Amino acid sequence: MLAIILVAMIAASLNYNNNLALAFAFLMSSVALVAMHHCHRNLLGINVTLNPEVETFAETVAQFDFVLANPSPVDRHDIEIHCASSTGLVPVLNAGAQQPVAVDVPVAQRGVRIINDFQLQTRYPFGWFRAWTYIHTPLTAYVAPQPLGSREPPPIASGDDDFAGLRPYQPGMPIKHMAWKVLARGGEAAIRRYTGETQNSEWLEWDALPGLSVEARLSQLCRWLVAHDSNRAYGLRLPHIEIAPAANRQHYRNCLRALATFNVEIP
Amino acid sequence: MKPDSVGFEQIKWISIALLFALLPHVTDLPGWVPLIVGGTLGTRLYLSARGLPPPPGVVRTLLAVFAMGLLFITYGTFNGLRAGSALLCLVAGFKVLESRQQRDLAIISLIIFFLSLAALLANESFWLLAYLIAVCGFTCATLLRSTSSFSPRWPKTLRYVRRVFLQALPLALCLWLLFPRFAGPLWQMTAEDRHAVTGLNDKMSPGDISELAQSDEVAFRVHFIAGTPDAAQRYWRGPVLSEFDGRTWSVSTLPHKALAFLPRGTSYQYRITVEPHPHNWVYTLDWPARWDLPQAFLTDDYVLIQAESVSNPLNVLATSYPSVPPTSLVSDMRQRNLQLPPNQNPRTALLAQRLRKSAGNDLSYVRAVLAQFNREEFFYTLNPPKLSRNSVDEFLFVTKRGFCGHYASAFAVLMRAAGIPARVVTGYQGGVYNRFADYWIVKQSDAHAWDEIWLAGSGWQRIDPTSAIAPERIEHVLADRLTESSFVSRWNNPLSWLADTRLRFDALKQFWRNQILNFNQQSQNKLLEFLLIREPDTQKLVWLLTAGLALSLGWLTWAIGSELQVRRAPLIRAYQQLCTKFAVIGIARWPHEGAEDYARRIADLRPDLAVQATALCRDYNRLRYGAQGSNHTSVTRFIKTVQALKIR
Repeated sequence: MLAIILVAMIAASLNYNNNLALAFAFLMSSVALVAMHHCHRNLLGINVTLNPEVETFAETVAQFDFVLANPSPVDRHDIEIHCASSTGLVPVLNAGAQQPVAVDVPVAQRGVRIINDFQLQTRYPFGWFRAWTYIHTPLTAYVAPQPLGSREPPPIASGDDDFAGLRPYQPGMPIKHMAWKVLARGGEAAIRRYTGETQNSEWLEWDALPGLSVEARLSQLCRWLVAHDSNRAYGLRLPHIEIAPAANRQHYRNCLRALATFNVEIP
Repeated sequence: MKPDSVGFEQIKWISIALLFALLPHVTDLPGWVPLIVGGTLGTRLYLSARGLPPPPGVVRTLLAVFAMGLLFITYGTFNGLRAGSALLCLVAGFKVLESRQQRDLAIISLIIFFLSLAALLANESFWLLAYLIAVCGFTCATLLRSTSSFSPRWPKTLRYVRRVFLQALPLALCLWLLFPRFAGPLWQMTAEDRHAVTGLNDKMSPGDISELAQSDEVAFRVHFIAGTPDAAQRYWRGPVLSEFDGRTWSVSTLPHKALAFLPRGTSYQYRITVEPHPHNWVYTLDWPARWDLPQAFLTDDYVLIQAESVSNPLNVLATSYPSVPPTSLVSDMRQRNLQLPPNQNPRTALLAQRLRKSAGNDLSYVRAVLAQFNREEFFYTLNPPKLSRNSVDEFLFVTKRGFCGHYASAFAVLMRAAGIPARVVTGYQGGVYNRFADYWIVKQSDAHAWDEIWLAGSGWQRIDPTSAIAPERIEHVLADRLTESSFVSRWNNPLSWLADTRLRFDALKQFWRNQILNFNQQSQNKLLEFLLIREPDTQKLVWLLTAGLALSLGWLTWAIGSELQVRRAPLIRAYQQLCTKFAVIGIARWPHEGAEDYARRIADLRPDLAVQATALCRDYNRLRYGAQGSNHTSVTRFIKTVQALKIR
């Protein structure tokens, strides 16, 4: 459209033999060319850092976190990240600055979703041109089952363990032992009581859920996993898979991945 | 609201830009066009201020069809500059009315560009160009603000747009200079009627008051290349009037080509730039011999005629001679220049016969007539009384007041009545010299009429009967001119600074026209010759254009890309500054010493400075040689730290 108008402008000026109009038409054409270069430059030399692997639950979104860094002395504007029909936008990326941007990709089924590439795109400055680049880095989303199911968690493996009920919260009590889940359900603020130190671990077991379908079992396990107190070690046992008990973030992610990849062909 | 939808702010600013672009067209457009466009803009603004969508498609279509119909009724066509501009205005208006997306804004911006171009096609003024570039810059700024997700502030946006336009300048200049120009239009254009121009006519009726407009407008400009004629020679020849019906002189209807003649005397070569006028003659200095208009020819009464009217400023290189050798007069030419309407101006005829008889020969008769004009109470005035049917009788014997046309007319009739072939020549006489750019300005107020008579043995002779009037009876001229236009006298006053300013301004205008507006194939060839390219032709021009484009595009790519590079120079300067600071306390860096070794040495010699020196030298190494490339802000921080560092 822009090109058609500019060519028409030049043709009209030539036809009328009008040097002034021709100068104007050439100026506007050159402005368009400069705008094209600016559009291209707006993407040039941007550094992208990202987490290529994320865990999420089915029927939700996989959130990929990107960080765009601009090492140049020129401000960048309006950079879009297109990732499997989802879009993230960085309105302003100042000179020498970094800017995080999250792109939420909807995921449907349990399994592994691999996005082969994503696209950086900009229409800045005037929207006449679009500069884009594909970055061929696979983005992997481990889609764990939806945390569903109504079965109670298995009983604590060894009796001399810790948890010994709740008691009402009073100011000054250690906030570390706060029963957040009770509070979140709308109950009174309460403090967990423990009988001893946490030594023995808890196991989330496939075998504890007989009589359910595979997906339902996984969903139930996932629910237990999500609901589990993150301060206490737990392990996960699936057929042929055993994840030793631990109580950190990476362990939690490993468990989610195990649930996501169970019986799934990894592409 | 969707991210690419447009709201009140965006519509407001693009509407303002559109109104700016419409402004130069307003005088050329029928009044209802701005009204409709204003209406559509107002409606859309009103709706969007209330968060409402555009009016339904049916309403818009009906309105558009109605407006297009009205346009067609007004112009009878959609073609041509005026109708096309009006159409563009309407389209822009309707586009604003229906705009919901950023895409629509981009289209409106393109319409604004085209509207600006149309304005330039209609009027070639420098100020208009400057204004329109400003309007388009504003449009770009508006577009940038509307299409970006963050709302940049106006000053920053405008600065950015100015930068873009400046970067576009070299490329545009290269294209403009080297893009091949064509001799004629690519396709036929519908003729546009230009604004009415004052000037000479092909008729002259001295009986009607003040035929020659005393306006300050420029008729033409002349630059003498070889030789400048003195004031008595500066008669600029326009239409020659040979037909007389007793009241009105007019040009003879059948122009014939002039017979070849051998010019005599010193030649004057000059370049004349004639302002547009509605006729087909080209003004030349008396007795034009050569000219560089291939289509133009000289009539048998020595008027340079071209095929079409002078609708655009015309640039002619011509050579004239002050006199021509006597030629014989062919019979029909003699007939034409002796013809007088019968039974009109009887008293003039009687006077002519009486004077001729007492004079003895033609030459003394001419002198006697001129003496009559001088001796008797003839006045020169620009506001003469009206004359009736026997205009010459009435002028010579009753009113005795008139301007050059009256005298030229009366003199020609007196000559013809005495059997001497005579005709009235109209044109311009005199002119103001512009010493700032070496050319003469001849204005409409310099319009003049004189006579030519044919005398056996000497051929056609120029006689200016107006100059025979006694000087004390021309005082009216000045008074008349002063009341007419105070500028006229200022043009001629060499001491007035205003005259100087006007002359300078006119010189600029002339430069603008000659160098910019009339830039053509010849100018391009001259440019190529200037660049030492032999035998310039279009092919070489295209080669040069390609080279120029490659160069300017390369420059553009480099210039824009290099902005991304972190400047190394400031970093190195700062490091040298740092070394100087340590040198002052006696630890100068050895030429072969790297930053890290230097820091170690400083730490050894001055343990109290160890921490600072080590940190700064490490920063320098990282910034200068780091794999990530140096980061702009940390370079700045490094420079600031170095500057703030105080060592004793």
